[in-house]
Amino acid sequence: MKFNHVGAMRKRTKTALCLLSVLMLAGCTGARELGDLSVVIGMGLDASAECPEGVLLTAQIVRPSEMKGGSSEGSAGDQDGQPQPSRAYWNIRATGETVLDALRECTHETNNRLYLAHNQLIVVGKDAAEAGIGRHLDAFLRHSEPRPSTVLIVSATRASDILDVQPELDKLPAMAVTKLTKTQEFTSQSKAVNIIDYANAMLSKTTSLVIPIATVFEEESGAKTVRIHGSVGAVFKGDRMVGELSESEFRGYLWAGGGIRRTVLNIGYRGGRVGIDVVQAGSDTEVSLVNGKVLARVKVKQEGRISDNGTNVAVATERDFRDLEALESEYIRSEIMDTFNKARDMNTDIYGFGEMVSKKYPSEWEGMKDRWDEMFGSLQLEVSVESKLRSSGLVIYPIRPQRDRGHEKREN
Amino acid sequence: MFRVIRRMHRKKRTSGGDENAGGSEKKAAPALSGGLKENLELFRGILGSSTDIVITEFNFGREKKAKGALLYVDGLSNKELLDNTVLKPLLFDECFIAGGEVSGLETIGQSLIAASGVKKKTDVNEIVGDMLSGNAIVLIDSFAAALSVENKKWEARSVEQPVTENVVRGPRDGFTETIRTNTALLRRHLKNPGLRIETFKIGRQAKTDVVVAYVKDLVMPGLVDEIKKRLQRIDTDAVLESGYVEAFIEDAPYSIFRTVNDSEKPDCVAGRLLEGRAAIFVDGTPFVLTVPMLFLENFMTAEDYYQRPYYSTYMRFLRFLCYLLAVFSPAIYVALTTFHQELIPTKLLFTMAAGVAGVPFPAVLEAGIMILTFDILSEAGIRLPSTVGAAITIVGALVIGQASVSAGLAGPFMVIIIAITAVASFVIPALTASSSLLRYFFLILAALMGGFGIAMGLMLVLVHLISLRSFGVPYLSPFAPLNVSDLKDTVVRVPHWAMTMRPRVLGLLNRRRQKSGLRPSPPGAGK
Repeated sequence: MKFNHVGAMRKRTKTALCLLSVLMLAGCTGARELGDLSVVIGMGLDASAECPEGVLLTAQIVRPSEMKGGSSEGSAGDQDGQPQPSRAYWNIRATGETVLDALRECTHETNNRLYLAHNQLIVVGKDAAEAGIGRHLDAFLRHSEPRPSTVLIVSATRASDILDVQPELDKLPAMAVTKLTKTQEFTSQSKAVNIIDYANAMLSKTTSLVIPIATVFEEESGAKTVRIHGSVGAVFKGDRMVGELSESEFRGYLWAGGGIRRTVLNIGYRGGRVGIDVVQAGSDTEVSLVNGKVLARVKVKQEGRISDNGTNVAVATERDFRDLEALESEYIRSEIMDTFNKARDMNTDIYGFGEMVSKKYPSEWEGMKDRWDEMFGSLQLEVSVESKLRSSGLVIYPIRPQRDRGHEKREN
Repeated sequence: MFRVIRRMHRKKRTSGGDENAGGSEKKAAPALSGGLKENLELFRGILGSSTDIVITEFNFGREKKAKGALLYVDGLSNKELLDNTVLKPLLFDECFIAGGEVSGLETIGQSLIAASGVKKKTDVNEIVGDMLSGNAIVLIDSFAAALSVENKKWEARSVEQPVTENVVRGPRDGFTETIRTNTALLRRHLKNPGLRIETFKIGRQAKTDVVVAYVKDLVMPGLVDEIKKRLQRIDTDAVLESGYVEAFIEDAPYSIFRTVNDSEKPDCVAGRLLEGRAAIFVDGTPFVLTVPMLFLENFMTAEDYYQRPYYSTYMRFLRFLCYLLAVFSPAIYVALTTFHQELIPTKLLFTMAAGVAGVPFPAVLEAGIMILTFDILSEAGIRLPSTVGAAITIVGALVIGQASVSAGLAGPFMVIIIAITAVASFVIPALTASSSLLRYFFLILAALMGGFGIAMGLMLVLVHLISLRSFGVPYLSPFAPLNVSDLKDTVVRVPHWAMTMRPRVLGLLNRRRQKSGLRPSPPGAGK
């Protein structure tokens, strides 16, 4: 009886100890106070001069105290009587063999470990992009902190240049550039790419990735801004950047890939220009094998409305609309073809035709996959565009001085 | 941990032995004798020389030969009525007492005393008990018995609006401290011959009236017997408030959740009786216990049933939400800021980080200090006389609000979190007792293990809640075990015409509450 009681007691003590040790196990090891975080909001990856195999990492760390309040009127640095806005960020640079090595190198300078969970942007310098980004970006997929939704862009110069430009409307360059990549959907001349998109493209053997390029423009006054303009798309073959796309080429790529959200087409019509606001667009791509060659058919459907009429006539009749729709279709078709020709020249399958063939013709694909580059070079593309104009806007006649309008009326 | 306490307790109980059992009331009661003098001596001996005990001796009968005495407690009996109903007839209506002989005590009780409740009693303890609860005692010489005349009247608080359960719409009468008033209030809401009211006297020293009330054909089978069994077990000095009774009869004495509900409102008690519950009234308190209790009852108010069902449903939902907020918000805040910063929206993270920039304490300590401060303030607010109450409000607003932030004791976000917690906890006053403790429990878990800790703690609490029973009824029903037909009066409150059945766990005897098909429709709108 007594023995039994002691046994039960010991058992209970054991259980209690086990439960307590659970508390200890998880411990406070994962705990970090808010004040002890160096929150990284953006990162730049550049080729390093001193360590050719490694990476020069720029980490943009937020200064929370400067983020408070609406305006960025800082108290610090009153030079020449002009209030100098104090920066809400701190760019820290470190070189390392690998990304994580460079990250840990940063702790020689910061007083906290860098916290990557809120990182929104990874900028890759052009040098680094041309040398291959795979070995750098692996860390961002492997580590538990960085988000897969982190936006990826290529800098036309060095990555750190982008992160050094104080934006006009935002406090943090990284945040401003991230937003900038997302507002590209209003022109659809560029499209934001994140780490997941990157990973998907890398997992495919044939598809090439197009990442937006941001450029630092310097105005005459010396003020700097970051723009996605001019040369806007970095085309990758594997993980190396091999070429660039212009704005219209990027749009040509997006028409075929179904990535158009909104865009504006300027069509020459009857002695003026008609602006068409594309509000809806979609595409359907189909591949087929014809005599051992690949034929791709792209069907684009888009709807728009007249957003401005630069001619002197009312663009309002059925015929006007049909004419304009035909012109639009031709315009889009040529954009698509231009891009396709360029992609073929660079031998980069940015549309993912290879993937489509592999899914549709799995048995034939076995013989093709090793010579896909060659196959892509001889690929035929058929484009058909179906355009639809929905309305002429709130007014029918162009609002002009009455004299001008009257005698220009259409004679039909 | 509870088990350890329980075991210690059990040991003590068995080793303590029965030497004290029985108690004072087991002493051999002295019997009444035939002589008035002896009898009066007996009562004087029992009651001592208390000044509020009034003993009036009088002579009556045709030649004032018969002797009698009137005993009552000053302040508990209606003196005026006593004079008119007892003394006057005895002293002046001589016709009944032929030749100065008193023929029988019953004759006096039935024919002379003009009061409705007259009983002949012989047991001294019973007589003393009657007297102390306000009856007048008439002793007549040469009889070894006494007449106990129902004549209670004392100063009592009138029926007022209850303090704890405020309603905008609904009856405003609340129970008082007088048990008879309370049972009468209940009967006014339930004019049902099946409403049974059974009285017990509990307490060695205080002999408090405890009443069990139930509706005969509706009450859960076996419930009344179980209540009586548990009540009769109580052998203590006094039950000064229904909380004493609750402590002796509840199913889970170590739980922080109560398994006996209470109410101050007759309409609430009536509603619960109609669902198959029973009520326990305790003399001297306006709080009436009802059993069995479901966890869900904490989230119900009387008003839910008097308002439109949509709004009631919204309010129910809101109360559940508030309970979660009151228990979890400091814990979740601490878990988010010390473990899961990636879950905080980026911009909010910066503001929060800026807010705690000058705070020297870790988030958990900051939260602990603020919760403690809040609890101190709320307790002070309850205890203080209302004249000084305003001072507490001002000091509280300063301490919890502005000052603690500007002094760098807490971040502004913590103040918001504590404010939300405080306001939310006031939405469900019935659960304040458990939620204010659970708050600390989850806070500590969150500080040790973050969201994982909160989840573990939640499991623990849920397992505990599911294991609870109140008089045989699962505490979390109708959720666990799930009873689909009873869900109509849980988070949602369906209209009255749709509640045709009583709750299945309670109303076993008589499931149907009303005719089905009572949904109103305009004339001519089809059948």
